[in-house]
Amino acid sequence: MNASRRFLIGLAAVAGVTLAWEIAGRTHLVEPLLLPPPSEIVTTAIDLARDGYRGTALWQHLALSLARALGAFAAATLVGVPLGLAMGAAPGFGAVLDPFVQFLRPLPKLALIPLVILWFGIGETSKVLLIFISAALSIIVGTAAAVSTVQRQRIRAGRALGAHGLALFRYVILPHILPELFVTLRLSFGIGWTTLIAAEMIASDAGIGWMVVNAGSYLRTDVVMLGIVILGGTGYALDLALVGLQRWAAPWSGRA
Amino acid sequence: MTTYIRAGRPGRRDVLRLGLGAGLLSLTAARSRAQTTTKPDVVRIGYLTAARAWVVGKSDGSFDKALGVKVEWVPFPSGGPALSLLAAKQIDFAIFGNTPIVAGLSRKLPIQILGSPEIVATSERLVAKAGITTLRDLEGKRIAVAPSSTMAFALEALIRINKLDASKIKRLPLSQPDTIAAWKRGDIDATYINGPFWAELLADGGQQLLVSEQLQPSGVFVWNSAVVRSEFAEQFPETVVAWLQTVQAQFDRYRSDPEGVSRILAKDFGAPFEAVRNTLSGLRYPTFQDQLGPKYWGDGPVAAKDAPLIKALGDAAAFLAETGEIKRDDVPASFVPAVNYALLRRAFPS
Amino acid sequence: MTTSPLIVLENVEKRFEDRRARRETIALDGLSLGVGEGEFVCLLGPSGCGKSTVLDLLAGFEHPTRGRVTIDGKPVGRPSPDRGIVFQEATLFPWLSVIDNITFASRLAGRPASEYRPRAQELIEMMGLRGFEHYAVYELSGGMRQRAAIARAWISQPLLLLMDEPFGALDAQTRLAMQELLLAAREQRRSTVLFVTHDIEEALFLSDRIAVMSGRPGRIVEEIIVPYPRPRAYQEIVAMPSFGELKRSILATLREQAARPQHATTGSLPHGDDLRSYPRSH
Repeated sequence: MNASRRFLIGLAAVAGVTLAWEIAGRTHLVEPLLLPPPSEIVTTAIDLARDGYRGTALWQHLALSLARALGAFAAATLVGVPLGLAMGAAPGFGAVLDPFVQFLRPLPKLALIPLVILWFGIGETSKVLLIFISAALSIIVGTAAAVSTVQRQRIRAGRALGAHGLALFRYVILPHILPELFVTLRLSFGIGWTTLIAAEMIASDAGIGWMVVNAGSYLRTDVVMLGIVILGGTGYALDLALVGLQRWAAPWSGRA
Repeated sequence: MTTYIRAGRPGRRDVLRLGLGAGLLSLTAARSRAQTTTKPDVVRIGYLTAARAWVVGKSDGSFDKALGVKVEWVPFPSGGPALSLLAAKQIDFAIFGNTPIVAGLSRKLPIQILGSPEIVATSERLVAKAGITTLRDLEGKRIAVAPSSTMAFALEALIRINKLDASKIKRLPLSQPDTIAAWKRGDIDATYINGPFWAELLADGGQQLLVSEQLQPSGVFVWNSAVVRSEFAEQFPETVVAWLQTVQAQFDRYRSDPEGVSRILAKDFGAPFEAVRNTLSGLRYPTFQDQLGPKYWGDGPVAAKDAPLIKALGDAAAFLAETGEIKRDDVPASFVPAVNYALLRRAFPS
Repeated sequence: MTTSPLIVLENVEKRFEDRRARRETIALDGLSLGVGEGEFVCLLGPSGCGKSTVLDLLAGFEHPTRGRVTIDGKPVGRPSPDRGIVFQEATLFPWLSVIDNITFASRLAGRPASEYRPRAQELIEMMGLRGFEHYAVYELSGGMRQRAAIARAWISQPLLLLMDEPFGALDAQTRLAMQELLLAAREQRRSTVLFVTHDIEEALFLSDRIAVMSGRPGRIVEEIIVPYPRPRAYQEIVAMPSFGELKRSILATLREQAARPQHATTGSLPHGDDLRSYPRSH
């Protein structure tokens, strides 16, 4: 199936579900309180875009969440990739760090909130840190795994061409794992993005994640749904951006 | 009897299936099947995960006995989740704060108010770090308060009443356990907080500036209401009457033996006895009889328009609309229809 | 054979320890072989007999458990571009263009562009890659990839070229074209080549001498001088009566080896299946 056909089918599916959802809401087949119809979400979106939510403009909520997530993700990449590379390249070092990483990684990040507050307070540091932790752990594990799967023949080819030690690492192993690294980064970004809600439960009064939680406690399901649409759409767009970056930086991905 | 189960149980699944046509159809089918029977199979009572006097009836089966049906107890951490549980039809009764109840009513959540058996007096307090001695000193400071709580409402009210500069006071939404951590780290200067948490802060050198009761002369009431799902009240009015009488019986029991009830609840909640006793004594417990009078809800629908608590509900709604938590257009013109005077009268004839 | 061989393998033994299976594999045992400068030697034997291990020892990827391995009189050190290697799979780097792959070792060694540029251009011409210099690896056919890999190994003017079944993964037509290309290129370069294959015809067509290996543990059981003068043309060589005779004789040797009891490993099952199933007509 070609790309444009897939896209059209996907579009039709979204349109179909949206229509069915709207009809279900209009005919009170579904209680609008439980699931507000798309038209109500659009109205809410227009209201919030005009008046803001709880004194903050909608775009500022989004900008704040993006700044937190992207800041944390950038830091996680800067820390996680070198650590993962080191763990993958030096098995001894990997063996030391591995138990800690594997212990922390599956931990629900909500459980860390009390500790993070005690250690780092209730400012931006704690929020960014929570996203950072979940993204970085996933990046470390993925990067280390990528390094350990580099084919032996590729490494031998590099050594035979005179690449040893750091040069082997820099000119053979690193470019070799680049496609895998992008897969890891995409996955980790998804994980970091889902931690946004947990992060914005720490003493926030702005951010899309906070908006969803706060609106939920007042049964503002329309705002909750809008927040979910914004979170999902933004996450999707950022993933597409990463795919674009991968195409540019590692055009051979999946082809060699 | 099984018919009610069918009507009630799809609740959780409703939420999951939303968006799927099949789920929608089964929901409507189940709904039309729900017809009046005298008693439900099971009654689900929501309660706050904090010691409350009426919950003493949970451990000894008082409610099961009085209602003559199986009772399930469903805990919730605060008013927000209680609204979700009611919307998803996972609980039939609950007692929680007036602020979330106003939010739910504005969202047309089908619930009815059954009086206000708990009025906050000294259980919620404004505590500040040493050196902050007057309310005026709060300007330029950071105050933690649990989001969407009665404390958040009371804090805004006290700022308004005392004409403090709201823009100079940084309000930090924090859960109460997190507030303790932030206090210890020095991240906050003050907090409006519930018992037993304030006891810990006072012991840590905190300064008490205000208790909620002091706001009552200015017309600011903070209380917990009993609510029932409207659908349930229509189907099983007798069960509602029995439930109300049982709740009152628990409060009577507390009045005659506060130490004993506190001891039972302390055990049940795994909390220190002292903390429970202090928390419970920080609330006032007007009887349902008393509530049906000019001091609280008024006699009945006709006379209720100017009753203090009806007015207070309107104030709370105005406050929520002001802050943007609810839509101004959603606020009901009157909260009188939200109160089920008929069942209250039936349970407690004058 | 010349009087002072470039490559000397003397009584070489190579064992691999498999700790998890708690056994030791003897890949080579008492293997001796010399390769003279400018000679083209084919190492023939079924897969799994240890012939790739011989290349690994010469490349410096592995070290002998016992015995002596020298190149130009010196023990083999770590891998280096002075021993060019071409593997069966194209091990070109997909993140580099064809030209960047070919010049990889030169650039890594910090050689001036004025030195390696003309050499790369010459090899590109020779390997028929003109016009593809800036193509990405994934845009090339399998044959082109192997030609680029040969150019990449050759650019450093290695003492010897080690080739491990380089055309094994190609289709018959491409394989023949590659063999002819390799011979033509070597006419100009006079490189020493040690070429591993399990294809008897390929060995006869390409090499000056064929060393036939036993089943595991591997050693040399027979050496055959290939009598054909160079330059060679495939259709002429296969038409010669001696070609068929040599082929039959080598096949017989391989079969004989297959019938021999195998002592591939200690403490485990012998590993001789692929030799027994050596194709009847090749």
